[in-house]
Amino acid sequence: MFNRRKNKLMKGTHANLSKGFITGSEKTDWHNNALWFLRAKRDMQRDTIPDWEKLRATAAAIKDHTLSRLPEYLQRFEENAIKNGIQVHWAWDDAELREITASILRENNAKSVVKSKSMLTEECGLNPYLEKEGFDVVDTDLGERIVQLRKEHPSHIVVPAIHLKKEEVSDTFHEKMNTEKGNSDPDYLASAAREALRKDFMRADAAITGVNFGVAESGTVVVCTNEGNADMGVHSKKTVIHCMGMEKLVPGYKELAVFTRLLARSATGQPVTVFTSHYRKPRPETTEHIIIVNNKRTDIFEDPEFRQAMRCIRCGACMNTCPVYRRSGGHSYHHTVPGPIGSVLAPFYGKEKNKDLPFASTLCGSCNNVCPVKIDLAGLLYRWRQKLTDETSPDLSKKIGMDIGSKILKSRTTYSLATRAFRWVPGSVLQSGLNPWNVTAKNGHKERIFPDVPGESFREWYKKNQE
Amino acid sequence: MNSKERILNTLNKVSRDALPRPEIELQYPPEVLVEDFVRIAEASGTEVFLATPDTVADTVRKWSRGGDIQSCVPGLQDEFPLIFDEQIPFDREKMPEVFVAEAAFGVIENAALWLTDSELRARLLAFIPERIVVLLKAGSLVSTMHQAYAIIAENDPFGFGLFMAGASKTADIEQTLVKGAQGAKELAVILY
Ligand code: SF4
Repeated sequence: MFNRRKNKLMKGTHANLSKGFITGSEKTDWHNNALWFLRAKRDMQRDTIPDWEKLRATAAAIKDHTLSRLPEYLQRFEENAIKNGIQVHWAWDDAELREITASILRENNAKSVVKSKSMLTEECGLNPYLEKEGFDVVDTDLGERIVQLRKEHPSHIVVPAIHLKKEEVSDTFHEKMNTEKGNSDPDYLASAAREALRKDFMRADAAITGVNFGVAESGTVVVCTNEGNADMGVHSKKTVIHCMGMEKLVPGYKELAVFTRLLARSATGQPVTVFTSHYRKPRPETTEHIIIVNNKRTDIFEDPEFRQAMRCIRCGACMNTCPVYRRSGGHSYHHTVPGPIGSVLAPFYGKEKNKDLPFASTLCGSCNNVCPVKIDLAGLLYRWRQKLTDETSPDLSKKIGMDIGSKILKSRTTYSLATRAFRWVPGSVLQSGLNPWNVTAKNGHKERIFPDVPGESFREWYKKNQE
Repeated sequence: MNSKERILNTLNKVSRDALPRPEIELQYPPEVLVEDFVRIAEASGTEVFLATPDTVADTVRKWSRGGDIQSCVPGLQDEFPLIFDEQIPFDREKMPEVFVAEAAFGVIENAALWLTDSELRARLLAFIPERIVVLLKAGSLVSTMHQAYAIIAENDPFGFGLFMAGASKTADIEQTLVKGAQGAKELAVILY
């Protein structure tokens, strides 16, 4: 009974979910390096722009301006999009986005959908809903397709399958698409996926995309991809739906320029994404829709401290640089958006459920330094820690530990008694399998082991040597 | 109250003073250097050829390696007629192996090429062919996206507009770059 309860309490926290990922340093190191590679490429791009810091500051100012007049810009965007022949819908929450999408599909007799990457629809649980309603949904971004076939979720908002080794992808493709067993050549696997996805594009009745930017003054929807998968759907289907979070607006093209310069450089260290597509008017005989989605964004907007989180352009740079994300993997965050920005947003979607996430950070501030829209991520995480400690139920194991720790540290006598007592625990016990924090690799090498405990404290040593 | 009203009302209730629309004053490289465009395009895996108006067709033919060529560029479409049919976009018979278009302009800082409905004829043509050639007048280069969007804002509004900066690619399998993820596998630019 006690164990079951304990398990339930422990389950689902970042610390527990990352355990598998960080046990044994091989995968941790590999993941760490893969992400750092992106960070390093970002730095190289940054160095090609002489006034990079001013570019970031301008981007932040543009977002703050747009947010300060958000109702006006949203209306302007809608008016212009309607003038261009696009139908605009508004969804208060995730459920409404799902319902609107399904009803558009039904009205247009669409049974199958090709989808390009959209963290928003992921956040709103669109795929499982549509599948339950009998629609056939295929994610067409290669990384997203891989995680979809594995029935997983993206572990990163830009590179969704970054947690997988090519051998794992090969096994999945072999099982689901009948590719050669054991062939894990990325070229081979990607071309197999290309062939399969071409068929999905041919077969589908409708296309759904996310939105990177909405331009208020022209009613344009902008989608950035490297694969061109959004366009393959948008330009070949008669029913097209763009799902847009309401923070995606920029005033005009002049401002869009700033963000197209920043997005790909910050995300993957490319000077720009391969395709930056601007959808303004539908093709003839095509119905095109935009769904503007709230889903708790008004809550973030209402909070003067946290409103700046709505500047986020979902570039992923804060994840790529985060020492905790890099070593624990995106799935340990148990929220759609992982990493620093995810942990800032998550408590808005459930304080109790996500109260551990703002603690999954060292507050080193590296994210602040790379964020293209200068969100004070570390500051906001720190703020959440204070608020959540006041506003949610205490985590007992942490509370007991803290209470004991504080009692010991408060008095010099108890402190020196405690350290002396600790010295009596034999090293053989501390360094054995009894200590759950020790890690031994499969080949028997000791990877992380409790260090030898010195025979005396510094204080004792100092006293002796002073004499 | 419908969701639109509910969203706008909620936002209006807590909106504070409007902040001014910021001035965008960023540095532009003073000169437009073709070499920079070539270097950046090549770094993104795009092949770049220098030609004159007379040698464009030849360059295209050579690069096509005998593949079926289709074009909507006025000077080339007699030689390489466009038979692609948007109504049956996946028809193998009608799909060009090599598609040739001319960009309205190019951007040096990221080697992006601007193409709209009028340059493409059919939107899918920027994505579905195996290989794509884009012609670009060297005189139509601009330094950064700032100038690029200034041109876009001045011109007649497009229905669909695209910055293309390379062949379709992915690095989703263990960060290994693979070209031709979904769209064209190769992109060439002919500067003239
Ligand atoms: S918070 Fe900043 S760095 Fe992180 S995804 Fe958003 S824009 Fe990028």
